[in-house]
Amino acid sequence: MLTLSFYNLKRMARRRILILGLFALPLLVALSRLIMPESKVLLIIAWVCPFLCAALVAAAFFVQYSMDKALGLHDGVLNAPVKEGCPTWSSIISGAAIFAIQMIIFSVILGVLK
Amino acid sequence: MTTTLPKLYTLLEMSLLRVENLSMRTGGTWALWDINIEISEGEITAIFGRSGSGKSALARVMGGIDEPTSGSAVWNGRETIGRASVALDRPALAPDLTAYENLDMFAALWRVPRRKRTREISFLLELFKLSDYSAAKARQLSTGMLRRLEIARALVADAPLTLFDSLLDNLEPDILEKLWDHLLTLRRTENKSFVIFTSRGKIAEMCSRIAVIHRGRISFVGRPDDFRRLAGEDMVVLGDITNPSVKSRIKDQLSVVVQEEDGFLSFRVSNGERMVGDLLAEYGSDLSCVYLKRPSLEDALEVVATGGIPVMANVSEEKA
Repeated sequence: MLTLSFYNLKRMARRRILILGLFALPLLVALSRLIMPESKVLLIIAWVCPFLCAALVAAAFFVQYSMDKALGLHDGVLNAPVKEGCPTWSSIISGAAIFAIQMIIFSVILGVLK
Repeated sequence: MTTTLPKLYTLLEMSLLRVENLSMRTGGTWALWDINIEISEGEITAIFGRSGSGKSALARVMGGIDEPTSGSAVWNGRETIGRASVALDRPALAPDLTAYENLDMFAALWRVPRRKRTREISFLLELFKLSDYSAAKARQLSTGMLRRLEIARALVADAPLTLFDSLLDNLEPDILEKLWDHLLTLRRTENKSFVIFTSRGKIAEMCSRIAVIHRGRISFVGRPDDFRRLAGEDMVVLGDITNPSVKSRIKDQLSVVVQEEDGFLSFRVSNGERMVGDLLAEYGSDLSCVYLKRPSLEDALEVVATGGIPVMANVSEEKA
């Protein structure tokens, strides 16, 4: 499962624009809070940001998962000695890893604010 | 009870994969119907059938990818998943990974040790003439290259049984020859088994045993030559014999029905090659042309398909 998660991350990392977008969101929101700490709109966006990040990551991996299933990659994976839920769980693990990085970026910058 | 147990144990030891009374329904029709076949260790078997006969469906079930509607495919009494590696007709490759990474990922999933993995991937890329494309992403490869990479993906798994679903049909002859040598080496050194699903008679006849599948049913299991005989015997035509005494001597010599037309003699024999050799040795100077038509496996399949000869009864009776 970890092998598949590693390769999921590798494949996601190759989609430069998508990965930049995923990391830019928490970065921009946290930096905006840093620049304008009094803004109430930005405060609300900062609260919503983790949920938005999670939704975007989930969407990105869901698209990849669906494509793999449609193109037949999952057939090859299911033929290997792995558990039935392996493709699903490896996508979840990969998504969680990217979300964790997003949250590290977000919380480190917000930590500077405090 | 004490007498049946050792018998059962022996039976399971002999066969690597047993498909028993397997049927599968897809899209409202029966893609497979009451399939019974055993794959033994160190055996190269061809599953020979036309397009749409159920080859891919059987390959997927034997590889544990799809579940049958009824019956079973068991691996020494266990499930087949993770034991039989399948090279699928539609390549199971990640388009955004390189050729090397695809093989590495699947080798890792099949728990091939890292050192062996690296060595094996390099060997397979070389074998399939993909060494120059090892860093190319799968989506950049041509259809032919993808098919070769898919075969390599199945082989890198290092499984005791590998199934090739129609992928050998369009392989370049030189690569097919190299692959065949490799399969024979693996069979000899590691006692590995291979099942080749094909619609090409020339590939099927390379295997020691064939199972013919037609409309989702296994209609024959045996040696390719035995199946070929369903289409009749070899036909030999001897042409333009000017010397009438030679003509009559040949007719007398042959213990088969000889037909004569426009100076040509034609007859059917079971071993045409040997007969032609003997005739050429004796009457070579008097014969202007010799034609040998050996029925192909496709001809035999045509006979089965048109119902010219009833299918062999190695399958159990149709289910109620």
